[in-house]
Amino acid sequence: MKRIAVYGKGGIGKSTLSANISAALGLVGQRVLQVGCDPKQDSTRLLLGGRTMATALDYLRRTPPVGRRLDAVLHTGFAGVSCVEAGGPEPGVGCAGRGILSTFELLDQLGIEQLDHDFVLYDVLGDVVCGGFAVPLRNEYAQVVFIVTSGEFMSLYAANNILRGIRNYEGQGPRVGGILFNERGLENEAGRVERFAGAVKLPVVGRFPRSEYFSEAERLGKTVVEAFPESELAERFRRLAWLVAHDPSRFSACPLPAGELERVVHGICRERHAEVEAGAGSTGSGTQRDIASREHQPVTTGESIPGSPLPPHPAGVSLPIPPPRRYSSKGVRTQSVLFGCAFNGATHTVMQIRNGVTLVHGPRSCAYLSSQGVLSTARRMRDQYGNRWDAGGIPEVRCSHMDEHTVIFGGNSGLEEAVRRVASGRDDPLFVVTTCASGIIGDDARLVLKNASTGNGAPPMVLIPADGDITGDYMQGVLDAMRLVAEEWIDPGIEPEADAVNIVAEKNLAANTEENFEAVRSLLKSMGLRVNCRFIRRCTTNEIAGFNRGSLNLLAVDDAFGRVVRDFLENRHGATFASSPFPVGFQATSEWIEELARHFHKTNEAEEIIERHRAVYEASVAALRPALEGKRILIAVRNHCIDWVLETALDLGMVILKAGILESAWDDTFHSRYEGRVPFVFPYAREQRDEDMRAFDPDLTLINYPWRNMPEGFRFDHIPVCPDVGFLAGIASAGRWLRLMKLPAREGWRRDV
Amino acid sequence: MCNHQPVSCNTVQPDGLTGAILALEGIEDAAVILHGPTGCRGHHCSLSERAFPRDIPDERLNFFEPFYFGQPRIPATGLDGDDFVFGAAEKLRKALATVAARGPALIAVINTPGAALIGEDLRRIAFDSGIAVPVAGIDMPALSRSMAEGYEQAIAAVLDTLDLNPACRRRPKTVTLLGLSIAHHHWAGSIEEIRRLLALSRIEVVCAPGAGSPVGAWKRIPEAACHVAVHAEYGEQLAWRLAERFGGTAVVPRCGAPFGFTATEEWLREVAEAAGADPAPALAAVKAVRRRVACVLSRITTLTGAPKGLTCSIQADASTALPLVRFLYEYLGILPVSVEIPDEAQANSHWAARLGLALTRMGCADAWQTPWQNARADFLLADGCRAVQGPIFGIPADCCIELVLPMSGCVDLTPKALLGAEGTALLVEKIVNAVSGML
Ligand code: SF4
Repeated sequence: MKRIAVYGKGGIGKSTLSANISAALGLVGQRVLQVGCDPKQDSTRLLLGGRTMATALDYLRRTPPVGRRLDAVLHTGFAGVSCVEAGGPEPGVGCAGRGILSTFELLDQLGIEQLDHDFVLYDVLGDVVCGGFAVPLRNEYAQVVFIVTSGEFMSLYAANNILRGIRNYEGQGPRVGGILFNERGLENEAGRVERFAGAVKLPVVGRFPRSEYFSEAERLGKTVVEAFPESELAERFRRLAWLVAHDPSRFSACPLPAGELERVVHGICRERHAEVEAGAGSTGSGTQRDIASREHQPVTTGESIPGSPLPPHPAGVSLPIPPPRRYSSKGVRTQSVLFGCAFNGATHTVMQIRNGVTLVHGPRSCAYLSSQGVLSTARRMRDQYGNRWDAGGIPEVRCSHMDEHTVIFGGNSGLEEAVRRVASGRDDPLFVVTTCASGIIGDDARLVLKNASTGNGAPPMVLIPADGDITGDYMQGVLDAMRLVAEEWIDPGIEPEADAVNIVAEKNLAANTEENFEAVRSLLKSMGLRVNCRFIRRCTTNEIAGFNRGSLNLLAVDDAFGRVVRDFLENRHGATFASSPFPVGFQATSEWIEELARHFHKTNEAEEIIERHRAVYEASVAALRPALEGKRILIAVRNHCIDWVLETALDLGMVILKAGILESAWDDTFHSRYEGRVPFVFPYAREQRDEDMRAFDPDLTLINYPWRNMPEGFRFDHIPVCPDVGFLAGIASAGRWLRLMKLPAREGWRRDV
Repeated sequence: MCNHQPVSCNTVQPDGLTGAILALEGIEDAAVILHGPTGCRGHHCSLSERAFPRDIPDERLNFFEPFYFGQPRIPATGLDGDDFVFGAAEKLRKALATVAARGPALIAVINTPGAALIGEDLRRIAFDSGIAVPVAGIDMPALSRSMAEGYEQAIAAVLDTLDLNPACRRRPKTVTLLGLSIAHHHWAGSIEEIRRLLALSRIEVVCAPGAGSPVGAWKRIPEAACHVAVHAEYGEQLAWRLAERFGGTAVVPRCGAPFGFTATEEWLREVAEAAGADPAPALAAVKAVRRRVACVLSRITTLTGAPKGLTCSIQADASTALPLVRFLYEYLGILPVSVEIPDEAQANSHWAARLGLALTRMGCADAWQTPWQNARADFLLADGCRAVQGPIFGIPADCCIELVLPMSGCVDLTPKALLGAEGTALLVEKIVNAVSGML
């Protein structure tokens, strides 16, 4: 596939030229995709009979990820040309450059690559070559760039700026195809353009005189190639298309230094300024000789360009619609308010990889906020559970220290330097996570890492392009980081081992995560099983590489996040999962152990464990029952699995008046083995709680957190959002209920609030 | 399982965004809106809530509550990827209306890094929203620069917004206290202690911008005869700025912040002199505390001499570290083995130079910028982030004393100070209690 970008100042006619080139290529049987990267969103209008289409950015805003389809943003126009318009904000608000980035990401996600186009033509506004508008300049996008200009000074000024932008992306060799001269009919116009072209060492590869054909075709909503195929103008476009199709020579970008442009354009100084870097000539498919011979003899489409005809049009161009490939968090999937940012989620995840170092590409505030999240959790773990600090200390986070200057002038070089500094002398992996700022300005972190990792002895480097919250919420960042790490490290060639399990999707910011892990590990140990890898928590890349050693995977939590991780590991890595997550409560734990026992042939051990705990559970129930039997409880929580509470309450002979399940930011399904036995309300409205408390007058209301103005005089207890796992989770709560029953419903201090 | 365990330490410092947020959260009756994603918000909310508890959320962690999402402070507009492309003026307008309905005396809107980049016009949006409350805006916070710079930037933005009357008559023996922020541990107690000591010398504190004073007190700033920088990194520029704008004298005491008895005495003398007051009554009060502390120390040191001979690491701004080093070395006989300035940019300040000189005079030049993790000192005086990590590096939790952004999770219901005479007594108390645990 050939990828071409056409840049030019707004209003210079680049869309008209681009559409005509696409049409000419389409007419000779080439499968062409034209992507309009201009907020004006009229790049493909002439290919679509004058119609404008829904833009990618509008679509992105309106449609949740799961429902997104390529055919909603991709339309077929004249000569089978596929058309996409990026769209953009109203002038003066938002960031149109970021819009280009989002469009490219959307097209990638929807699998545009699989459509097998022969040509992709990006029509890009070049007034401001900010990071977003420079995306088509990146190596994975345009291989050849043409610049449209007229002889107006501002147009040439923009052309020179575009060359400056291109120069920053020339790591892989020259990429400028030449200048497309769109005449305005000004006096001495050709001379100006030729002087400019000579000074920047570029050929004028297409020259398009002012013509009535343009306005007439425009009026018809068509390209000149379609409307007036016999015209000389159409012929010029066909010649240009021929050039484009035949691997045009490529030249280095040699922009004029500030101050010289005016002199050159106005013919005051014809000499090339010394500032043009030595050796900045062409080294690509256009040779040094090409440049030398063309330097002051601009090529125009007026010349006769020899060559073979283009291949014929294939019969029918049908575009398959590939499925979306994303594993989305609940917030992203439902397009609700984003809680937290993907950057933080991703950073917290890779920080769990003990032999890695995390480099934040962004302002120091982002690195600080992320590391504080981990540190506060560690502190809470210590205070609440007495967990000692992780012996390895608090994971290191480094930062590229983006400041006001960097965000304006681009952060690639700052990132490059930071990567060099952090990577120097280390073998262990480096994870680079991007923030809102780097995402908006469109830094090419991928290229920076690619360059940095080519040297000898460079450690493995993995980019997590979270772009702050541009890619989604906190959980999306966790998911994306897990996915990228899995794809990078999990070794598919490793065979499962008989006694090994993996732990998957633990909550890295919950204070009881270690406590729960230890409880599970101890149960596993009693069955002679061992933990192979915690994916991804307090582990190393070696352990992740050996992920497939775990013959069974144990999901920590069965919520929206846990299920997506499970789906991903099942689909992509063939992982096998136990049917239920870390168990909470007596029955869940018994069943979980029985399933493990069946899988690992450990029935005797399982029976012994369950019986031992049954004795304790039953003794506890017997002790608590006399005081709690007949007590009436109302439940109003956002936990989407409360069977462990219900089990204890029912075993104690308590009466469940109502179990209201509130909406949760983390889950959207609800299930219970007590359906039919307990009066559930799902979803339960917050507003209903006060009324129910007054109406039912329960002995105890179970909630997550109290709320302002909740009815006075009622006893309530807190149900943890992340409960402790194990046989006795419910019993621990019931012990507390018993104490609460003996205490005044309202503590004295509450009267002072 | 995991056998690769190098001991690492988290050393990332907050930047100007945190400085600005906390400076504005330090205005008692103001509300701060973060114009940006919720990702920038959570930690700042808990910092503010812990440092300056005021509001109770309608329901904690109720993520469905617009802008507040179940936390009581610092609502955020919750920008997402679309907003970065299309702008989010409407979200901000709605947030302004929601926040204004709670009746703050001032609203401050801070662009997060992303919103700053897309150039949201905060003032125009605020103006268009038609709310009656004055709105201060920080368009581009001091990203990757020091917290102190962010603090200064935010205080300056509020001063501009409030449009204080420069023609107001200055009253003798009145001061503003600058450079104290709710980020400083025990800030409220420290302000009270300074107020108490100055009041003994008949000096009135009219306002401590960013450290609890309500908007009404800010309006009295032009009355102040002196503008005193308490923490120089945060307050020095502001002191000069206020003196220039409203008249009065800028005072930047040479001793640095009033940590330790000697620095407190020097500080009081300098401020009293600038304010035309008699320092004697305040100095007498310091002396009384000196006696109390000395009495305890003479009993405690009888057995082993400790804390004399112990070592300390200090990580703090230079104008804090300087008086602390002097106090620990001269008054308690504790040797500095690591003294670090958290922000590299401040390593060349005149305060840093004086600190370096002081260390050299003590024969402790090696301590300068030695990483605290390597120094293995008996005590660590640092920000909360480092202090909570002290135990990983062999410093018992009791010996880690937080100076700014406390993280230990301790709740202080009785007012405590770190500055002034009572602040010094607290410092000694923490040290001797920790020593008794060590012996
Ligand atoms: S990445 Fe964006 S949302 Fe996340 S902390 Fe940084 S600026 Fe805030």
